[in-house]
Amino acid sequence: MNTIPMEAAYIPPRLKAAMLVAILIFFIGILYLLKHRKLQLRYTLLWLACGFFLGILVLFPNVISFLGHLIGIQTTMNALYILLLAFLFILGISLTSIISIQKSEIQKLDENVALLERRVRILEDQKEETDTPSADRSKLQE
Amino acid sequence: MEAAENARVLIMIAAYNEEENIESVVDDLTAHFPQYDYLVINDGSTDHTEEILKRRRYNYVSLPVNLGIGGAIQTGYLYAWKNHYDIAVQIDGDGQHDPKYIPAVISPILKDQADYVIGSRFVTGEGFQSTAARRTGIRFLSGLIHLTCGKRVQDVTSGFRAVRRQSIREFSRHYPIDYPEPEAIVDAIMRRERILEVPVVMRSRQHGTSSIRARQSVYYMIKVSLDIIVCRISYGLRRGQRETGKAE
Repeated sequence: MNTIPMEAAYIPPRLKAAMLVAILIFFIGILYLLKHRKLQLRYTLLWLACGFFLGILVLFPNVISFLGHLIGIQTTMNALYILLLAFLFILGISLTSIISIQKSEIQKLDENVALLERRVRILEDQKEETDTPSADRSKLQE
Repeated sequence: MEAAENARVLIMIAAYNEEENIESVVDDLTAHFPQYDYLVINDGSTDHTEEILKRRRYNYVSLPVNLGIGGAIQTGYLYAWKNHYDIAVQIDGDGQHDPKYIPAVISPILKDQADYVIGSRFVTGEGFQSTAARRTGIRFLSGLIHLTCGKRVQDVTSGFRAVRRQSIREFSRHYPIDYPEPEAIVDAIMRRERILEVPVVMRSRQHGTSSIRARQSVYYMIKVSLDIIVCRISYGLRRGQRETGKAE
C-alpha cells in the first residue's frame, strides 16, 4: 500500500494568534450572554467546552495532525477543517435534540391548556346561569 | 421588615413521585404549624401523588411538564410573590426535613439578622448525615464556593431554606435549573444577602428513592463545579449592591 507522506503538524503563527484571540472573544461573548440571561448555564457549558477543545487543538497542533493521519489526511489545516465540521455536526444534532424535547413540552402544555380552558368555560357558564336575575325571566312572562 | 406577628410565611414543598411520603409530610406540617400557609408543587409526578393531593384537598399546584427541582421551587416562589408572602421556606417532599425546625429557620429573618437562612445538617453533626461519599462531595463544593465567592457555607446541598421578600421576587424571575442548591447560594452571596446556617437534624428519606437530588458521581461533581464557577464569573468581578428596605 502506498504510504502518503505526512506533513508535520503546523499552523502558521499569525493564524494561531488570530484563532486564539477569536476563541477569547468567543468566551467573553458567552459570559456576556450568560450575564444578561440570554443563555442558560446548561447550554453554556457545552459551548465553553467546545471553545476549550478548540483552544487545545490550536495550541497543540500535533493532536490535529494525529487525528488527521488516522483518517488519511495530509495537511494539518485540512484536518482542522474536518474536525471543525465534525464539531458542528455534533452541535447541530444536539441542538436538534434540544428542540425536539422543547417541542414535546410545548405540545404537553398546549394539551393541558386546552383541558384547562374547557374547565374554566364550564365554570363561567355555571356562574352565568346562577347570575341571571329572576327579574328578566318574569319580564318574559308578561 | 414586617413585624414578626404579621409576617406571612409560605412553606413550599416540592414533590416528584412522592406518593408514599407526601401525606405524612403535609399532615405533620399542618398538625404542628397550622398558622403557616403551605403549597405543594407537584412537578409532573407520574405516580399517584396528584390523586393523593386532590383527595386530601391539600393546597397544591400541578406542573403539566416536569421541570426538575429548580423549576418546581421557582413555581413556589412565583406563587409566594403573587400572593404577597414575606417569607418563603423550602422543604423537601420526602420527609427529610422536620417541620419543627421551621421557626428556627425563619427567626433570623424576622429579627432582620439574616436574609437567606439554610437549615444545615453539619453545624452540630446530629441526625442523618448522609453517606461519606456525599459528605466529601458537599465539602468540596463548600470549599469551591468559599474560594470563588468568599463565603463559607457548610451544607450547600440542603434543600431546607428560608428567604425574605426581596429574594422571593428575584427567585420568582430567575432560579437556577440544573443544580439549584449550590447555585442559589452563589446567587444569594453575589446579591450580598446575609446568609446564615442554622443547625437542624434531618431524617433519612422515609420511602422510595431520591430522584431530585442527583447522585454524587464524578461527572456530576465536574458539572456542578463548572456551573458554580461560570455562575460566579457571570456576576463580574465586583459583587452587586444588597437591596435594602421594601421590595416593590
